[in-house]
Amino acid sequence: MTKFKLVSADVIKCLSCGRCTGYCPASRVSDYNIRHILNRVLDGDTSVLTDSLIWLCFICGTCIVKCPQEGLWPPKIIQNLREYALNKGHGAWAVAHLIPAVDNFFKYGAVLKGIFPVSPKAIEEINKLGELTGMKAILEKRKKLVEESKE
Amino acid sequence: MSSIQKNNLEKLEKLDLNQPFFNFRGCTEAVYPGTQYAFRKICALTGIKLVESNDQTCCSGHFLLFNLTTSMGATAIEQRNLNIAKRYSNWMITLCNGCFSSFMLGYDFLQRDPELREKVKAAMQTIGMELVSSKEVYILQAGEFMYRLRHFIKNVIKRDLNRSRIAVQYGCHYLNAHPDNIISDPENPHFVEEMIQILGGVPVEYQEKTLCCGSGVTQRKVHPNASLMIGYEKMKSIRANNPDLIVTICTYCEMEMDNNQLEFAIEYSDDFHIPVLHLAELIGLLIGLDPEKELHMSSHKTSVQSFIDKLKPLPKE
Ligand code: SF4
Ligand code: SF4
Repeated sequence: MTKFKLVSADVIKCLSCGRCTGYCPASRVSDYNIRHILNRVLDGDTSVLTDSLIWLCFICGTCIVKCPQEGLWPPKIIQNLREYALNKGHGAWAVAHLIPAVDNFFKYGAVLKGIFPVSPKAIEEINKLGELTGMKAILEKRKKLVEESKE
Repeated sequence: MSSIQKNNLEKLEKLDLNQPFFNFRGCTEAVYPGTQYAFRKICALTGIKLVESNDQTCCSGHFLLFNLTTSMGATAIEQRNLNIAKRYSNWMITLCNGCFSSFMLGYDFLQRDPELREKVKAAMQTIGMELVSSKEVYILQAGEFMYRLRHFIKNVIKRDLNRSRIAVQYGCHYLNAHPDNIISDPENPHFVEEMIQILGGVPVEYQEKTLCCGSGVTQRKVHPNASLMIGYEKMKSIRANNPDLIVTICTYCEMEMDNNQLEFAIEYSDDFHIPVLHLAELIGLLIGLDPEKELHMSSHKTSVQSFIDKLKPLPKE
């Protein structure tokens, strides 16, 4: 577990019953298997971080509803793994497409220019919050990773 | 349905409609302008006061779901929008499940993580704002809100659904993400079907009602094949029950299910031609809004004309 200290501690609640996988849409159409991924996390298998399968979760939350264990949210664990992977330099290919939308957000207050009117004050405030909460730093870090991955 | 969802339903039925409601704008309204237009008209006709503000921004939800922001950043952006809403109302209405679940997620973070809470609180103070709790601004999915208005809507429609067969898509980020905050059983939702009956239509059940539309936030870009295959499974299950229309309460699902039909034709040589409308647009047609000038039906990739033709003509003014 120590190897995955960023991953939500809730993962230890997993009973390995497989209900999640049985109802998972990603499992129906690919090799993605959430139960296996959770098992690998519990086994401390760090190779899961470089496994492109972690990017196949659709974050649909079906497993949250089907899981017998209260408070165990598999997509949250997947997001933790993705975060961990990105911080180790993997997965730029999966997040690159959304970067322009985040840039637009800080420029226009919306993911596309002119969807609805946004006041200059609102834009100023989200930029301030972006600085203070580390949101902008993460964006820059992700941009750098995407650039480096292109090289 | 659990007791939590029953309580939510009771709370909704008792909701005082004589107060203003904050209408939260979302990015998908750029794709289907008729949805937002119809929603405002429905509210105006049923005596609901909607408030909007240019001080709101996008919800930023999908940045968080694809690891492009921090939980703290997303929570602060949500909290800022909630501060704006709170100036006008204790209720925020969203036409998109993405916005709906983002606000819920922000509330969850604040509740579960005391350290994050303190940091977000400090950040909010720098812009002269405070933390808003889920008791101060309640997030309401527009589908549920229109359900609350169902009897008023029935009184203002100019034509009914004329026994049209309609399949319903609720959407994952309504059903699964925060099941304690909705009026539906996430495994067997039915309030939109009830509404269809009230409005003179025939709800069509199908096996894959709770399956993802295929969007997966932005999996259409990251894993286009898997995304399309999931959407295809869902759509085949819908077609097997022969509907005239698919209606959804989420603008994001609307976009996915409408666009995907073009892709199915190209990738699988399979033509569906089942129109997809947001519940607001559907009611917009019944209250007599102009399909093109007001509802912008040509913004839909899958033509809606076959469905409009099934409705009785509007009575002459
Ligand atoms: S359903 Fe829950 S307990 Fe069962 S394998 Fe999946 S995550 Fe683990
Ligand atoms: S959230 Fe991810 S793991 Fe869970 S059912 Fe959906 S696609 Fe599968």
